[in-house]
Amino acid sequence: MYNVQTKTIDNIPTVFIHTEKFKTINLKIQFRSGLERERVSKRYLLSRMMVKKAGSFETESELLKYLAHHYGAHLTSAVTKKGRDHAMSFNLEFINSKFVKEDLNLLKKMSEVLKDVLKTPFEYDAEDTQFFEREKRLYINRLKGLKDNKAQKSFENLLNVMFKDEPYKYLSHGVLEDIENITLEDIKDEHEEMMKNDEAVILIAGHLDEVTDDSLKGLITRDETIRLPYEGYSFKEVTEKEQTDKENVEQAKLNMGFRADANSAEEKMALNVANQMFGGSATSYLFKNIREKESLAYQIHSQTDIKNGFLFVLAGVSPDQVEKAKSAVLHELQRIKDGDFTEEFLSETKHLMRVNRNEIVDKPKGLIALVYNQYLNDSTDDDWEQSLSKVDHELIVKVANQIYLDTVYTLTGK
Amino acid sequence: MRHIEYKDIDENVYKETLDNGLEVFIIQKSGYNKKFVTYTSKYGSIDNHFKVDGKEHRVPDGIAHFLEHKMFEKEDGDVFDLFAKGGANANAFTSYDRTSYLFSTTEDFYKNLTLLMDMVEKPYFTEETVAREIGIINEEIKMYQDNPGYRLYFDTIGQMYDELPVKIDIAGTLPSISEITKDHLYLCHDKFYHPSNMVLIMVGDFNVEEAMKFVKDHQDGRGKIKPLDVERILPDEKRNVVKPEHSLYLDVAETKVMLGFKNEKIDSDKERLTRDLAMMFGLDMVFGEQSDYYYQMLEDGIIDDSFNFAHNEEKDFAHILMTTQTDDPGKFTQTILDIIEDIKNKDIFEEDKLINQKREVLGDYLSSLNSPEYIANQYTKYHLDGYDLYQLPEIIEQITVEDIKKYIFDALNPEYMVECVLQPEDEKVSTDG
Repeated sequence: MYNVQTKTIDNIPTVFIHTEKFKTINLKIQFRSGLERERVSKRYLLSRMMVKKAGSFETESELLKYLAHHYGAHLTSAVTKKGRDHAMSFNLEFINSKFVKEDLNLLKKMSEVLKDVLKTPFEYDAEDTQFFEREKRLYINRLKGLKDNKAQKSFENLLNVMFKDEPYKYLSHGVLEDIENITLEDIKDEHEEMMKNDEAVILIAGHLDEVTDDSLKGLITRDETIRLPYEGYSFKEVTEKEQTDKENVEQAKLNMGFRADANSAEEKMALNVANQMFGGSATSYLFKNIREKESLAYQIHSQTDIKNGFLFVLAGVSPDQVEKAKSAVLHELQRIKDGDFTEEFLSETKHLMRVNRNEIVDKPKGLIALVYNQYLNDSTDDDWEQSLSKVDHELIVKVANQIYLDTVYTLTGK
Repeated sequence: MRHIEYKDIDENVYKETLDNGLEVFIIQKSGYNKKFVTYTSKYGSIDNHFKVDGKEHRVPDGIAHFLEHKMFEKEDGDVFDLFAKGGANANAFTSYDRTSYLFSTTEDFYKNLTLLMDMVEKPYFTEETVAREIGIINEEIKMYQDNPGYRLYFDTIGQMYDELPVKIDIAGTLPSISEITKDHLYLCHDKFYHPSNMVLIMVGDFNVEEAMKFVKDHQDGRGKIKPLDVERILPDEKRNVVKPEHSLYLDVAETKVMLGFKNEKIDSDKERLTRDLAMMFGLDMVFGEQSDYYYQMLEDGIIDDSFNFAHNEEKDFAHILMTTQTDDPGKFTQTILDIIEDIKNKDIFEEDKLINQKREVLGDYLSSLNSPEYIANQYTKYHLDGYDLYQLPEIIEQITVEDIKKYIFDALNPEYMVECVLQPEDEKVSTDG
């Protein structure tokens, strides 16, 4: 129960998603450009700085007080990888004015805040050095802290081995070693580049009766609309690699990376379904057989990056069971490749995927993410359903046989 | 069935207590595809000691969580599969005072609802299935052992509480879960999964009459159930902490510190909620991201953005926890103690700050009400604590600066503080050497 309308405002594609079920309005701007090591850490640092210092607010605290006064409006930034690209977004969530007894004109004010957020880095100067250095320090601490999460660390290590010479190994939040050398000038340059050359899309979701085009004018103004291609990496032949590191851990973290040669929309959808059956759900082969039947792992699942054709298995297993678990994972994948699954299981899996998709749109952020993906892929709900309905036993087997093990990475006990 | 309309926040609740004692709530969310249900027993990790018909029972630590795992397994297979066949996602969780079973779906709602109710109401345990579960749960325990934040939390709680079983890991330990038998499970299920000890909450777009009747018919079909005859036994817990300073060493790169301030529990529901909210506002005024102290600590490099604090107000205990990643835990603790001294002499709890905070909290609250999961979980929590989630805006409105002052100085009493430091293992070696 929502409808979508796309317009162009100041040459920025602007997507209106109208629904009455939410108590809030979400106003989001999405930026996207190529994922490169030289830029990724600067972009992440920039995104953090932008939501902390904006417009005429002298301090971060002043900005937060202003947002609090406007009924706890939330200003957040996020980064993620999308296909071959790095995506960065700024989001303002604020409550629908019908719940407020005073006339605050929330939309107009929040749209002004977002405007300030986007423009402020143009004005960074020597006075911002202290703020910049502090954010750099916080950024370094944050990434160092992440490395103490062994599951996260072992997944990063897998990416480093598997994508040794490919940019996909860089995480959306950048590279720890690169942060120290970033200068405030770099940040300003990166911001200018983003504002000028990134693909930008505005999305607004909620009860939009009072939202006019005018209220969204001037967030960014461009002479022409920028639309970048949205593509995944092309398939690369695998060379099987294996690496094991030792630390004092109670439980070994077993990570396996696969590459899949899936190209058409139907094949990509089949990869999605195959992943659900293999390890993507509580009824999957990995969960049922490795966790429940053999008690080999508490945590085991598989996940895919459909756009790029990568599949990962992540498991926590007893250090003395790593080899057994690894063979068991490969055995379960082989079963899918051999077509050893029932029609019933396949149709249940597809059914559950439809249910999950219907549930996504009950969350403001889920709804926006879905609509943004449809914008990028130039696709509709019908396209999704059509691809899914074409996935049958034969197609699953075909695609499963195009999945190849690339890397096994284990972080285990000393 | 009672209908309560909350006009200011545009929410509708339908409530009925059934003949067997089960409380049922339907929370209407028009326009939602998803229906989300939680079926909760007021039974958690803390309930390891109780009396039935005058006879005392001590059951192994971690049993509530073990029971939660085992409820999904029945004679004819795993209920997860049946939910999946019915197009639903199911899950469960155990906390210190409750166990919740849940599912969400967009179709075949009643089929899945029956599945949930049957699963929770009809136990099936054998020695063999119990033995197999020990392996799975042991891996779960080990997974948490590798999580520095989790270790730091339980070590801090362990130094704060002497008797109260809140200090026990919810999943138990390998030795404790190894003692669990099917008889323990049947006993706990029989006593704590009694309808009068449970709450069913359904959130989504419903035909309310039909949904309520469906639950009622199902519950009537269970026949007569003996009234609940169980009495929980909780030890007395003094306010004094076990050990004020503690260190643990893990294979990590960064040092983390957690401070815990132990408080007295409050028996009155009303007063407990008042203190909970007053403390939330008060702590935020002192340590929150809009405060001067926060920025000073950030600028001085004493904290980073992992700094976090919360007041935890429960029926059986109350405390404040603060944590950060830091190079100098001693300096962090001293700074916090200095701030606690400083606020006694400054007038930092001000009316205009409180008004602004109330607006912020109200906005956060309203945006949380977009989420059926949040509503079901929090509605249950507040209900079990003697409140109504949907009356929160009214209670928030009543909190005053005086309430904050009444509670915060006592809550931050250094005499009842624990400092727990998590350090890299190599630092232990160098100190020892």
